[in-house]
Amino acid sequence: MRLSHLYPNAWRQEFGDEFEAVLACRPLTVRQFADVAFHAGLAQLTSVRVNPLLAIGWMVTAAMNLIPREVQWSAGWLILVCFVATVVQPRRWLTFALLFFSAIPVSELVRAGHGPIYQTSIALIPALIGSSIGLVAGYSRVTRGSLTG
Amino acid sequence: MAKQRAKPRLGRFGEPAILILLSLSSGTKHGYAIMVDIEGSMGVSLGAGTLYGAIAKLMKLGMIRPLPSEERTRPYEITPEGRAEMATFLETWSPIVRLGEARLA
Repeated sequence: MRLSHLYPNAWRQEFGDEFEAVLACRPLTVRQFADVAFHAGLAQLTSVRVNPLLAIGWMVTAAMNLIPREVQWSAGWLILVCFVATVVQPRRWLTFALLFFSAIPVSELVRAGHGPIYQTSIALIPALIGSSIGLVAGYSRVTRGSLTG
Repeated sequence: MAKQRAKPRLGRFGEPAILILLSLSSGTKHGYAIMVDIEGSMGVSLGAGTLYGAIAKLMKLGMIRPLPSEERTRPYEITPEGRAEMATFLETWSPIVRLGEARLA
């Protein structure tokens, strides 16, 4: 396996060949691998561009959780926002589910200031439901588009 | 009151980047040569991930630049911005090192 594949595409195009050449100069140790994996993770994180629509969706999700009301509202919103995001980009269904779900424990921390926040993991269920339905709808949309196009 | 110094752009934890600048200040080198030079002359072992993380950061800040090469590895050279950054870093740390040495003596 080429370790440069752990890095984002743009990074790989810039440094991939020489990076592999440097790695090939020495035997790969656990320490070397951990070093590469850590920095590849950092490069992946810093390559993510914040989409304003996703940021708004995340903040609305957090706000829905902060406003005292029935939990069904938050669950319904999570299903909706995960569904819509996944229909647009079906390949990122898990990212969207985890992204919007993360607004719940974060807002819970803001509200309570301390744990336990493990109870908020229940919010993963509506997030995954929304993304799953979005995944099916998104791929059927893509397939229909490719058949008619 | 202590004189206000220019703030290092590489931040407090910019050590790998400073080591790379220091290595390149003696001439152009490619990635592996930088790694070997830092190990040999400074006694610090940098992993490939750390090395290329710092190289990418330095390139983005315009402190080093790659030179054209026919081979798989590109040599890098330090830019005037890189030299200025290294001078700022040394200016910041030299009095601290001297003070530490004096107090430990």
